[in-house]
Amino acid sequence: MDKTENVISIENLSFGYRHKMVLEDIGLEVPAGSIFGFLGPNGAGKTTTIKILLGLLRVPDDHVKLFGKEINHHRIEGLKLTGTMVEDPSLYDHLNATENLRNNCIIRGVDRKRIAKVLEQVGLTADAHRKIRNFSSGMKQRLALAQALLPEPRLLMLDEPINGLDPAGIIDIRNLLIDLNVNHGITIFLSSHILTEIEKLCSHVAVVHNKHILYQGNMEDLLNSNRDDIRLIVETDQPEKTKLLLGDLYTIETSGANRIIVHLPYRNASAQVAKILVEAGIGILLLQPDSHELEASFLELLKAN
Amino acid sequence: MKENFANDFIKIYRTEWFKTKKTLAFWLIFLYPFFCILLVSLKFLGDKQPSADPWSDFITQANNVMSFFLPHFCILMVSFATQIEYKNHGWKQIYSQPVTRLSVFIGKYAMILSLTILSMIVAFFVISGMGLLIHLIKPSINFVVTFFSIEIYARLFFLTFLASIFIITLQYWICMRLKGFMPPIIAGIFFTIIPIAYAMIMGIAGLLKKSKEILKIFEYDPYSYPFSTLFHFQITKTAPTSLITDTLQVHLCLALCILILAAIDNQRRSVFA
Repeated sequence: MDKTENVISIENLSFGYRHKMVLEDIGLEVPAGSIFGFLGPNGAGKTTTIKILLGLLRVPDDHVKLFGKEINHHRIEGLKLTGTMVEDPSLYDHLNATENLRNNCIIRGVDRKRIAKVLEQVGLTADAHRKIRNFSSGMKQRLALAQALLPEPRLLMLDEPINGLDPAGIIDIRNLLIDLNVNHGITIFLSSHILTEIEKLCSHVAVVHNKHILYQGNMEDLLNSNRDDIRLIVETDQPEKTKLLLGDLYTIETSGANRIIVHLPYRNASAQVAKILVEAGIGILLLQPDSHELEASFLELLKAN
Repeated sequence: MKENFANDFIKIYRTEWFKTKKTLAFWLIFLYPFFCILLVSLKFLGDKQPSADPWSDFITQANNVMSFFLPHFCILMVSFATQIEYKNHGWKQIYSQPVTRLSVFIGKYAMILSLTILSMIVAFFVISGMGLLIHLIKPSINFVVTFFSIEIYARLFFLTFLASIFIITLQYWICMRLKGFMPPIIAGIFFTIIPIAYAMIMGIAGLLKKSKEILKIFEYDPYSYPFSTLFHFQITKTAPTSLITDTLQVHLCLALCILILAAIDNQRRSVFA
């Protein structure tokens, strides 16, 4: 598949449970090679969308395509190239980790040798023969990811993949997903309501709220759009001089003794700030965007809609 | 298309066996015959007058008791076999695999039928073992005088297996439809006790007096059909002459219709669990 093609495309799709509409006339395009974050509050329809993409929920023909093919008529072809993890991990708790993966090997027709490889990828080699009923929720989450990786998919569809993970586990899984995307070219479609993770991981993002897609596109564009105010945290070895220099060019505020918050007109202006400080011979101790940028963009999107 | 289905079916059938090991559904195929045959063995040990043909009597009585408990065995086994998917969030995982939905549906159904057959095979070994054990404990029963009749065993247990097919099929559909362990069990027990309750009420009201009339009621309900063969045997003192009775043929045809409807339902419905 060409890198510019869409791995997932949804057009004018509406879906509801009995009398309650969950999605209304949504469209979604996930480019090949992207890490696509599907963002929304709880109950916004993220899991429903993933279930539709996997053919678990029935929708009318010609609204959903997986790898360019209509899902109702080419479900199996699409799923052969897809690794999935939906909601709570699907693991048999009377079996151990290896047996659970072996079960998947049989259905997928995957060589058993892959089991050791995927267990290593998710850091569960030492627990290969431990029963699932003795696993923590974070370990179950890792094993569910291993299950998704087993068939060497071209698309990973993950629903809330970092739920239940401890901070170290979150970093491990984040690094693994980035590695899979960058070095193996796997497109990753993941849903989450944890904004900071989506911000750190995703190249593209879609925001779903109240049955509609409010935004979809590059992460960078989202961070730059809907924002009049981008905040940069600056700490230097000469705070007073820094305030004078930057205060002439930008709106600034102080936070604590040495910390300065600079309000930038656009996101890339941070490079300009760095240049100014270096040329003035000021030592930069810290220069980082406010970590809640996506959160602010997200809240503004919700407010605007 | 046919080839895809066959390949997918084999994969699903293999995984079903793989994950059923060590589950309650699997242990039930041993517990059910062992429990029933133990009851018959105790009765045999307590009998004052030894039977002239102990093996045939032992096999027939074992089959009778197993037939009596057959509906409960089927209800429990189908519930256990499907419940592991609900309990472990397995349905969404299975249905999002690159296999046909029909193969998933038929694969699990075939595994449940296989478990039933396996319980009959286990019963064969338990009957043989128990017979010899009874002979050792109480030599007067004299199991070694006559031969174990494979023919009688096969005939009776084949009939019992056929009688289980309707129950398994309807319970399977109910279990696929109803989430949770109790609702399918309650539905199954309800279908089993309905004719008993009906016969009791009609008996108390004086509308049913003859045992043959009661038997008819049991025969109409596929859930109580397996133990109606036991009633038939006890009332008439003769085993049914025809292996597959007209009633059983009707039940099997109905089971096929239910299986087809359930398969169509399975193709069309969304998977929420």
